[in-house]
Amino acid sequence: MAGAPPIITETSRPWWDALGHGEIAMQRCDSCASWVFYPRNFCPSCSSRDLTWSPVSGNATLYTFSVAETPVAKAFAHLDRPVLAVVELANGVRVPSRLVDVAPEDVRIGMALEPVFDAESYEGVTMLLFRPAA
Amino acid sequence: MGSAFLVGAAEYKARRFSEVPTMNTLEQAADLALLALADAGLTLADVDGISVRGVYVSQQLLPSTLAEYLGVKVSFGDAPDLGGATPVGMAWRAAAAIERGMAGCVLCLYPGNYPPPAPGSDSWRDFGASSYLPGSPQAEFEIPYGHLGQNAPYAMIAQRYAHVHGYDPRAMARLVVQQRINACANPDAITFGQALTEDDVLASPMIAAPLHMLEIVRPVRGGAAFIVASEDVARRSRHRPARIAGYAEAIAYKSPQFAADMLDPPLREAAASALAMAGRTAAEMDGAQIYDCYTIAVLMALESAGFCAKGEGMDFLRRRDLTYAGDFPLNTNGGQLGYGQAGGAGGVTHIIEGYRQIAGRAGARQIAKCDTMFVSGNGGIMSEQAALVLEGA
Repeated sequence: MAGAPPIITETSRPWWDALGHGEIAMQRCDSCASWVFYPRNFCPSCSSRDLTWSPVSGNATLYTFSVAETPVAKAFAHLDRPVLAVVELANGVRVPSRLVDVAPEDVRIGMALEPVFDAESYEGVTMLLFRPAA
Repeated sequence: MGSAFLVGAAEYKARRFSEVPTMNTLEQAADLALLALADAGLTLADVDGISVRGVYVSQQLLPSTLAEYLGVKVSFGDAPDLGGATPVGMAWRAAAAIERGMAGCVLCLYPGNYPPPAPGSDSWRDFGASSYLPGSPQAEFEIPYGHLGQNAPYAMIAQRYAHVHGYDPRAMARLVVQQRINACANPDAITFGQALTEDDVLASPMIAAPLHMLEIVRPVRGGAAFIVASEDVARRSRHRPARIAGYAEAIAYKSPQFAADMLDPPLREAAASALAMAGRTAAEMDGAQIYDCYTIAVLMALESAGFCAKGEGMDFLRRRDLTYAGDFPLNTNGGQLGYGQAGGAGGVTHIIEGYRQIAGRAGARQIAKCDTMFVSGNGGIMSEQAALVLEGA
């Protein structure tokens, strides 16, 4: 298989389950209400161990990006000029991702994005990609 | 507490990757140790500390491996894990140990030759410094999207910089050209004798916009060593020592994707602390040796360390003369962009050049008056960062 599929941990299983249902869920601290990403077994803001998975809007903006003109690794040579992105969700959390359905030349930092639930890249897991908002 | 001093160094001439060394990395470490001791006018009998990385004959326990091989007994052993900031980490840890009286003469060794990849072991080649092991956040949230290597993340920082502050490709090209002028005064540099123009830089292939090929370090074979010594030992050494007057380190994330602000790297705190420890300001430095894996890394470091204000780095690069003869001597041996990056020893080159400038031993590229020097280390993607302030003793 091309690429490198996510090595999923039990702690982060709900993230992947939600993506499989076309939703985004993220841990939120019961104590200080901070969002926690990537998934952890405690809150790095206040050290509380009480986190609850909560739904998150997929509305997002582009924080930064990079077009890989040469493959980042042999395993990703199948991607033609991938737009590697750091995406800021409406709740302020930034996630590493990739943009699709946009020409590299048309990418602008700050542009509005919407999620793409990608079940094609890897077998049995749904990845969170983004494209320009409709 | 006493002070610690850089008293000697050795650095292999940068060589093409196709030139396979005859010595293994343990033998190189011993060779570099003897060369650095000879440079300082010291012997193995003086050595009571070892800090070492880049020795691939063993995956762990490097200080004891070296103590045994060199035939010395030490009271300080270290092998810092800070990526490109490891050499600066070696220097300040050795200095701190010396200041506490735990050692008097610490060998800091970093052979810069990668081993040939072992058959069936593609992990480093495929995933670089990112970990694809179970439980690694990178294995779950970065690598699967193709967030890998150094080019893409450094380009992300540059793109963000361009969005917030604006971007001048020609200012970045000028930085490469000025460092190349320095490299052309250094016969050990891989680019010695190869003059360059800004147009050459801008015409080189785009690797990850806005980064051109010539804005990215070129891997070479090499290796380097330096000696950190107490005042007593420094007094017996052969050349003008450079006192390690200030040092600091700052680490907050492995991947800048998770930085609170991608344009505010931890070097800001490290540089401020190191300068404060030395009782100096950035403006008082006679020169700077800035970790330069990418042009954008230099720009970010110049701003973070306070050599210019945030957002004014491009103007600084356009305005100042960065050559060894200029008004802001920067990476005077060519830096990694001009000298070449000998693996982890790439970060040693900045320390050794800082030492040589203060010792008055930089040959054709000697800064006219050099009593203070700022040195930075940068590991990963602006993630492990550290700084030294050196002063002529």
